[in-house]
Amino acid sequence: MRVALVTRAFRPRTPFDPSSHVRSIAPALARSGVSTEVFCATRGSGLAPLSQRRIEVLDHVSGVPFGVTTLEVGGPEGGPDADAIAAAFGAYLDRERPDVVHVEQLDAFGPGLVREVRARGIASIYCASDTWPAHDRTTQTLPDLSPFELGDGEAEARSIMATEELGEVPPSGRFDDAARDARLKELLHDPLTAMDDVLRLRSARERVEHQRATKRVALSGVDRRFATSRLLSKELSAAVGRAFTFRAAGVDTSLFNAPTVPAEASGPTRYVFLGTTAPTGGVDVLLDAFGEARAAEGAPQMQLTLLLEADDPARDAEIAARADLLGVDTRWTRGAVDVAGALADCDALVAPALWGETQTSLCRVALAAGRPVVASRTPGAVEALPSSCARFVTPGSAEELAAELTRLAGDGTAFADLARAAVDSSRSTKSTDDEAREWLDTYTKVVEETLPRRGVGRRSSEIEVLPGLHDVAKSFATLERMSMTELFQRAQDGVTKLKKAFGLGDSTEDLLLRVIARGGDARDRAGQLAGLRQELTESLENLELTRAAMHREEAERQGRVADLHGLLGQYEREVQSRGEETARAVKELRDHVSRTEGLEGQVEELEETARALDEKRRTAAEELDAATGRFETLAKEAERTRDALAKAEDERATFETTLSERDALVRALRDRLGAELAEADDDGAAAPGLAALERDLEGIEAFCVALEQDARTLRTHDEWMREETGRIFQALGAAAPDGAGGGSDEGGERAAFERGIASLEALRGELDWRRTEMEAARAAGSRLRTKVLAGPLVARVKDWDRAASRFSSVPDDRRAAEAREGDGAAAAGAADRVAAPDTGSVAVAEGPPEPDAALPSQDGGEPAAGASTEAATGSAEAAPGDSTDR
Amino acid sequence: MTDPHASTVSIVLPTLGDAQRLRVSLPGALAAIESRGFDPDEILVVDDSGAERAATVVPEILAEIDSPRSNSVHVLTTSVNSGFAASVLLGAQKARGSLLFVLQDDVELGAGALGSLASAMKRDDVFAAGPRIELAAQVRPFASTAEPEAGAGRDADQYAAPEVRIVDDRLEVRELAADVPKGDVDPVPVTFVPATAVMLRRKSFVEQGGFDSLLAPFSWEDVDLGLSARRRGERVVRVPSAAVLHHAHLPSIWDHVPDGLARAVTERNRLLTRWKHLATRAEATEHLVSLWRGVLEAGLAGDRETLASVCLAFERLNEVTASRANMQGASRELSEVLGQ
Repeated sequence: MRVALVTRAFRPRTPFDPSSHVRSIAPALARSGVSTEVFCATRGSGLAPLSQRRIEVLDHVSGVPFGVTTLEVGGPEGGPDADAIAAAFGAYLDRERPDVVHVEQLDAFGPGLVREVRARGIASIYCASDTWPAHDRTTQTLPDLSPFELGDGEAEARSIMATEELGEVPPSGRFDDAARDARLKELLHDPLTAMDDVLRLRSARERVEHQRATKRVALSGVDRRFATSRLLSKELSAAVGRAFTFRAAGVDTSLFNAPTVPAEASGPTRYVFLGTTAPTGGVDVLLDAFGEARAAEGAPQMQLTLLLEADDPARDAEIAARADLLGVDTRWTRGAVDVAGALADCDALVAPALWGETQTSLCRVALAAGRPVVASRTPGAVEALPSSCARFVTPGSAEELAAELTRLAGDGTAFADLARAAVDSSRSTKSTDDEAREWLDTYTKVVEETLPRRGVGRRSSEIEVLPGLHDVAKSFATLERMSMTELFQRAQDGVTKLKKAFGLGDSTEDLLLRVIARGGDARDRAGQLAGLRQELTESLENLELTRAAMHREEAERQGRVADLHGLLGQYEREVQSRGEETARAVKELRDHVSRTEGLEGQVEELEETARALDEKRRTAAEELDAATGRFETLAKEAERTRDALAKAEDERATFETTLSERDALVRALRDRLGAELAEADDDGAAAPGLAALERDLEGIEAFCVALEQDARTLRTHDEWMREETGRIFQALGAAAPDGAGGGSDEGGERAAFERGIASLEALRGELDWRRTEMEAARAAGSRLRTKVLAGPLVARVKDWDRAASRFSSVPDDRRAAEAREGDGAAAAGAADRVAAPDTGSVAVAEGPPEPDAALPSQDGGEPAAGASTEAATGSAEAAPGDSTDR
Repeated sequence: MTDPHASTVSIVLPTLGDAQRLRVSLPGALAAIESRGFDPDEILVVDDSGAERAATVVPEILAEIDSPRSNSVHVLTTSVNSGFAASVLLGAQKARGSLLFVLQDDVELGAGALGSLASAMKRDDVFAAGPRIELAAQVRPFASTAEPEAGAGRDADQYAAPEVRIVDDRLEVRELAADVPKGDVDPVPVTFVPATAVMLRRKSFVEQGGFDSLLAPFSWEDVDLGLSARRRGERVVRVPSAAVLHHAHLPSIWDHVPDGLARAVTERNRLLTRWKHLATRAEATEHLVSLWRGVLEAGLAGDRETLASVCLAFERLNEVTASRANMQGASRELSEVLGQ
């Protein structure tokens, strides 16, 4: 009988790891005569994934060997998929050819292993020591270490969801990050409302259900199913839908001396805890309870020893620190745990686990060693421990545990009864040998039952083997059932026989040397592989180079892409900006179009204005040309006026001289007249004629006064005229078209010309006025001459006329036109005034009288004198005013 | 009409009583002896089914054929299935002709083939003569180690000519391409003639006990027979102008043998044949070294099949010794026979 024991790991014996049970049952089976092969998983061995290695282990009792094959299933980052692992197990089965496969744990491999067993028609047994058939989380705790019920798929789905989102939760069940911790609680316990969470939970739930169904199908193909506790068998039967038979695991009693009832305790009561620092083991609760019990007043003496398997460094350090504070003896171990020694050195085991299944094996070990147990009241512990040998407390209750520890330590009688019951119980302990015998019986039965489905080769069930083949078929079947090791051993024996049959005397060593030297398929393949490896290496190097080049290209490309993205962004911004601008432009265009419609009229108006301006410019140019002409004319006139002024000045001086002379003459006349009058008074006959002379004299005097006034006025005006003429010439010189002051500014030139023309016009007006005044003065003088003077005065007046005619250069027709355009009244007055001298000049032209004979006549002189006076007065009054106005 | 100088031929048809196969082989065989016109020629159908199936099937086929030589067909039966070699030996023992023509029941005898083969046997030093074997359809796996494979590497006017060679101290049957002859050509010396269709001298064959029972129940018997004859200095020839058509696609004995077992037995017999024909101590030593190396490599590679076949061979080690002792007159070394 050959059995393959499948387990998670071939671990050293620890009473708190179910997988370590194989370490006890495998040698027990080997001792019972079963060819035993253990198949287990390993991770991170350094071998390639799916590598298998077999070693032989000797049973420490009988020295019988059994094989242990490890399969590398990959590190924590993941390894081969379940199908590849199953295929590797199939190869193992083909190699070892077990009659029965006894599965203790499948979680490291997956349910595919059962399919491989079934496909080969090999008998199979599954013995559950945990809840794997129902849950992947065999601890039945959520990631935050809160427990859930067997069959609670929702809890498992939430656990999957939480770990997928948040990563693996630390062994303490809490994240350091408060936010993550809060999220963990939310995902595990709270109603999920976010749609994403709900969908992910649904997905996780489906995966849990699928996994469960896969396990259920696989386990349905197992020929026998067992569970190591009644509770587990009941619950798994319900969860999986297939019967699980209870079969208690045995305890390797060879490790223990025969337990005896301890003597009456004289020292402190010694408690021991075995396990890891995982919170589910309850070591925190124990330390709390122990501290509380020790601190109580009048507490009995107690000692506590922790035999801990190092697991999580941070957690281990925390527990170690707490234990040190309490004076607890802490022993750390890696690998094998000296359970027997630890139990031998204690009075009772404390098993305060929060979770029940693992401690059942530990409790059974304690009972086998004859030690009572203080345990959490979990279903597994209650089942494993008779009440006479144990005390139960509420799981997680440090107060209850402290009270129980204190009670047992303080009540020697009660403790002795408990210890005695434990020793009695140890005598009925089921050993691993007992268990092996049970298994051997089961193996035999199940192999017999499954024999019909086993055959030779794939087609065995389809073929009716010919009788002539029976012998060889039988031999072949025998060989087929052999393990690889056995088969090779037989072949080796055959080689030896053949050597003997051939009568060859060569030693085995010599032949082996020749075997090695000969070469063969393996060496050929190795050579080919070396060549291929070389090619592969070169290809890999080339690929590396290519990859490096591609990475560089990729980096460059990414750079370019980034640049392009930047450029694109810029373009996008520009496009956006231009879009906005376009939108604005469109809007403006629309506005513009609407405005243009209005502007078209304005444009037309502007065009009309431009045309008008052009016309005006043209006119202005023409006017400028005319003005230039006029300017030149006026300049000439001004020149002539200056000459005339100079002459007028001369005439005025002459006139003043004449006036002075006439004044002297008048005074002489008056004096003569006075004399004459005096004579006349004396002579009464001549009275009327004298009176008239006196009046004439008075009139002449008045007229002379007026003339003097006019003369003063004219002098004043001459001065003004001189200054004004000087300014005009200065302005004309500056505004001359080709003069030094001529600028490029056409408007400035034009304005200067305009001003010059205006000044000349004003000057002409003044000259006209002056001429008028002079003519008026001439007329007055003529009248006076006519009335009073003759001779040289008349001649002088005639000179005044000539001077006046030279002064006036304005054509008569123009003067006439200006007279028409000007003030009517003034023009009329001026014309009247002009007309009078003409009349007078006509009279003068008839022949001027000699001064002595030129006495004024009595008739016709008054109206003229009156008008002259009036005109002279008006002129004298108006001239300063005009001058002031200018 | 009887040619007093001509050899009489007994055709031995070993069968498991499969009617389909017999309908392929029996008509051609009847036609062959009918065309030869020798009254002593006979056909012996040896039923190895252990169930006397041929006793029912053969009369049905003969009735269908309605040949005047139907009375020349005789059915022999083995009480239990005893294999190809035993069936042929039974037929040989019961035969009356001087020449024995072993014909598998799925082989169709070509026209004139029987006469050509008998002519080739006229030379006294010819121990066995075989026809050109052509395949009627796809060959079945494991039909025979000496069986030509379907058409690989051959043109339409070529056929497979199997030859034995030693490669890395291992006997191998290799198929060489040979041209289909135009008309009669001389027989070609070969290392062996496949048991598919082989003509033998009945007396010699029976005297040496037929195919070696060492190789029972099947495979490599024909190779061993040829090599033994060659080592004795006798000739083994192929007559290219004689053609048979092998209907290898029909159900056969291989349908009654699991694949793994068939491969194991074939490989076992390859080894047994090699062991039987090891002539010198040096050959034996080299072979042992080679074999051991193969065993070690199989063990390291987890090659169960090789180890199983080796183990099966070792189980017959005593029979090998006996067989070697029975080889009389085999003075030539195998390498000489094979020209290697």
